[in-house]
Amino acid sequence: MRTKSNKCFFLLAFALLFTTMSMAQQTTSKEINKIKRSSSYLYAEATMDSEAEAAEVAYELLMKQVDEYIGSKKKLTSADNVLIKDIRSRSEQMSMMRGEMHRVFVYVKKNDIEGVMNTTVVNAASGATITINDNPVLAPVHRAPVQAAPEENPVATTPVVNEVPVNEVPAEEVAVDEVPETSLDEEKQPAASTAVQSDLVGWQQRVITELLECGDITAIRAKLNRLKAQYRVKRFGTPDKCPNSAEACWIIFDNNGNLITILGAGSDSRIDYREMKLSSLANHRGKNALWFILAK
Amino acid sequence: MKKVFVIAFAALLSTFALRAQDEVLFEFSDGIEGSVKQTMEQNTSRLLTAINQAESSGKDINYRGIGIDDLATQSIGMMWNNVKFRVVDDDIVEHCLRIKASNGRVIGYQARNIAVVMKPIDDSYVGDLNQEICINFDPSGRISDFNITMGLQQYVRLMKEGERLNDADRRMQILHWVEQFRNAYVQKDIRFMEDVFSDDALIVTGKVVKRQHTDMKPISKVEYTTQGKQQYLNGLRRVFRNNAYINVKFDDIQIVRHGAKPNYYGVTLKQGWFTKNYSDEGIVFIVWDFTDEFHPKIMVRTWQPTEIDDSDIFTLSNFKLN
Repeated sequence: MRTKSNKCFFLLAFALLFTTMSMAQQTTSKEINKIKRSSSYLYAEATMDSEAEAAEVAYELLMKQVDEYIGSKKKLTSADNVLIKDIRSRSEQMSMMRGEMHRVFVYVKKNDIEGVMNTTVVNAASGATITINDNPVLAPVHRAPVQAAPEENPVATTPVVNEVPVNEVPAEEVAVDEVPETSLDEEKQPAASTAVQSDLVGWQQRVITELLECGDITAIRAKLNRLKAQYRVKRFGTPDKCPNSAEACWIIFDNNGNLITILGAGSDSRIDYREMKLSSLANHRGKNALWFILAK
Repeated sequence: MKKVFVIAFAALLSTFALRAQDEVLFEFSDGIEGSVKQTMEQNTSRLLTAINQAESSGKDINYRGIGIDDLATQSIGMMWNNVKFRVVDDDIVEHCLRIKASNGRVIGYQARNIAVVMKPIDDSYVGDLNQEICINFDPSGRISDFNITMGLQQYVRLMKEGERLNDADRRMQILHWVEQFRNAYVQKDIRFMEDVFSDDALIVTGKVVKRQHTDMKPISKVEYTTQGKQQYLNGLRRVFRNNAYINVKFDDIQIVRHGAKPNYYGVTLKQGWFTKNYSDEGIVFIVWDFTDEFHPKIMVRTWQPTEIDDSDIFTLSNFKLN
């Protein structure tokens, strides 16, 4: 009798659990569709074997949506490389199972993207801080070329000067700190900044970010091979085979093969993409290195 | 009497419940407006519902009332003959993607990410149970094609490259054709193969041959055989006849445009071939001629074993294209 009632209890408990799980999935699915139907959000989703993979692809797709959205906004057209601050922290994520696969849905409020006009943002790929002025029409987009800092003081306390005429600036450049909407002459005034700005276009910046995430020399080599196959990296190799040091970016490793940083192209002074400050090859003398040349 | 009434009521209820379970509502969230949007949504909802109803009842798919081309019904039918499937969600909201010609004109639309679960008839099925389909529409909103999609990661990567190289629209077209080409193997669609291969297509197949050297160490060498279109298709017909189910996977797809002939594209991919009794993996290189972008042709198809050196993999430079 007791065994029978135990069986009944387990069956009931199982049925209850199954129903609850199924209802939870349905609720998530309904919430996802509610967001998709709302015109206030940009969204993307991916279903993959693991949640991490799905999240990665979903965020890639979301970035594409964000880029397209920015491109479609007249007042933001010049800022098509401006990405909202650390997109993962501003966006929301929902996950659910789909059979044995993981479905990840990510979304971000359009207002948050439009809000970049009044906020300090970070290039999602580089982590470089970019402040955008609160002018209702986005100030002409221009990049501050990095001035050569003295070797003994590679940290960029040196003022960054805007020298690029507005109409010659490539579309993929990003706005800089304290840019007045006024004349070019005024723009030539030094801007107070302690960090350097990335000198790369969007996809190049993402390549650097992907490489910085690799961690060690084995992973970096594999990544470089992959990037070469994708025509994003033209060539790479060991220091003794570098055809033109100034044209190449340099990946610096410690003695254990762990990545220290990546230095941009340049002669005396280069951008340290991990620290986002000026540095030079001389600062890393004696360390292991690989060079690579980015495609244009 | 009371019992009969209760049973009848329960039967009626379960019928309604089953019907409700089969029903799928499809909606586009963005990318299209107006009457074409409504037409596409209606056609998609009806088609997905009809698929679920056919799966539940064990009958054929009823296309009555659905704006769908013969090509798409044939595509679904060939898939259906091999494996049944069912739409996972009953309420689907998706982006509408625009397919553009090289002059920027919209030549159709696409819905992706529609999750389906495969319901194999027997144990000969060798593919993934969870898959995603994409549906193509002509400019009037009529369903023009139906395919199982490739991995989402590849799609994202290729589209990103397309943005960088400023040929995203053409890449979307190529991907669509590559997806169709893969599906033609899965669906055993010999007619598609007849159409897509150029009459003077060159088909090259590599085979690793191990020879015994004098010092007893085996030496691997790749031997190539070339075939014409008909010879290749005759072999394919035999393979289709002898296998209940074929699963073909395309991975690591790379697309390269010919420098001097911009309508020619070289597509390199890793092909996984799975049947119940045989499977292999190889590097496939395809030269597509997009001179007629609505009817692109395969000029070259090569297969090489995966153990081959990277430098020996065929590229566009290995072939003289007239």
